[in-house]
Amino acid sequence: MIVTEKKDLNRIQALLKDRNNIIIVGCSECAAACQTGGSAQVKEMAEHLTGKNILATISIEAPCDKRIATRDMRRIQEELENAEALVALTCGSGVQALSEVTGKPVIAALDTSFLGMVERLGKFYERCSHCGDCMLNDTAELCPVTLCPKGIRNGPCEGIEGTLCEVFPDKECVWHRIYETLKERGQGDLYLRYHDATDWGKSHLPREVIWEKK
Amino acid sequence: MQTLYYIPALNTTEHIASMLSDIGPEKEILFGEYGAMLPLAAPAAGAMNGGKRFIEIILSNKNRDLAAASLVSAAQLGFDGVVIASGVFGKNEGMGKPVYDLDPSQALMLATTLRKQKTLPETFTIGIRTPTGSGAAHERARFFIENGADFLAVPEGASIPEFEDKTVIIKEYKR
Repeated sequence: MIVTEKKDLNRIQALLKDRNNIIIVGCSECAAACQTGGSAQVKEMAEHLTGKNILATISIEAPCDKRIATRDMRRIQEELENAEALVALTCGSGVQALSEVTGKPVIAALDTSFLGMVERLGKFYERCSHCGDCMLNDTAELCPVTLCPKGIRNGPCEGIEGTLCEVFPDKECVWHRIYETLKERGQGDLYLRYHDATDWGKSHLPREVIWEKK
Repeated sequence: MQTLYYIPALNTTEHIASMLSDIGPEKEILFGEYGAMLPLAAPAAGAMNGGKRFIEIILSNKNRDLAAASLVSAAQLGFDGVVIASGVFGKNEGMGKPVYDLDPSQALMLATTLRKQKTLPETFTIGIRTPTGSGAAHERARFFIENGADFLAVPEGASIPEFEDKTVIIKEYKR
């Protein structure tokens, strides 16, 4: 899930200074789970934007998916034609998809933080850095690229304090956890499997996946 | 076990000269990267006379190209060897994006490859700061030795019993 956090409302209001006719768009997937862009937050935003003419509010299932955004925005076609700007309570991909789909200026009301694992509402943890070179099959499903502050692919580093992380002394070093878990599973040989430096030649931004036609 | 006298931070050439004078001429010295000056500047302060001279290459905030250039430059400037370290992770307000392009194992592979290719002299010694105190750390020490490290560098008070003959104590010089 894409974890988002709310931007300061004063910044949103400043960005809308010369725009009166507004549509507010929420995301009923990730941003809703983060309670940053669900229908309650869309309503809250509408209440905060006093003095603005809110033409419509809409929650889209996945505004980052241009197909869904196109389909759902058709439902408010008339309001869209009159809108001077959209306020998007979505991740950065959602903002850009809405801009491309509508051709309207879109104000990003959220900051996009990370790809998160949800423990329960209000507890989101980064577990994947989308490095493009996944080593989870060798590391007991614990990603050191993300869980080690240094992102070390062959650890631990010399800073380990007993079994604790040098950077976050209240946390276990992920390489200690990897070692212990692999040993328990009888897969200790995986621990010293060498992982080469990441080949960034394959990961230039912006990344794309395009299926080839068969 | 041997001892390397460690000067973590170099700030001015006068500062280096005065510390060297305090430590004594025949000691083996490791120059660190935590001061205003890069340890590659140590030769400019007349630091190369006396015992062996090592340079610490910390990998934080270096990409692989800079790490390789640092290794080659150290050898060209007359250092006897290197101690590879991941480096202390800083958490400061307004800091730049941390870079850990290579980890110590990957840097060890880089250094040993450069030595095999004779880009580094055959006599250039490759040491590596080594974790201690857990099974995971011990296995990593084994990896370093099996993959060409000449010595394992540990702080005072730490030890790696299985590789005692390959262990070098880093004694931090404090004034």
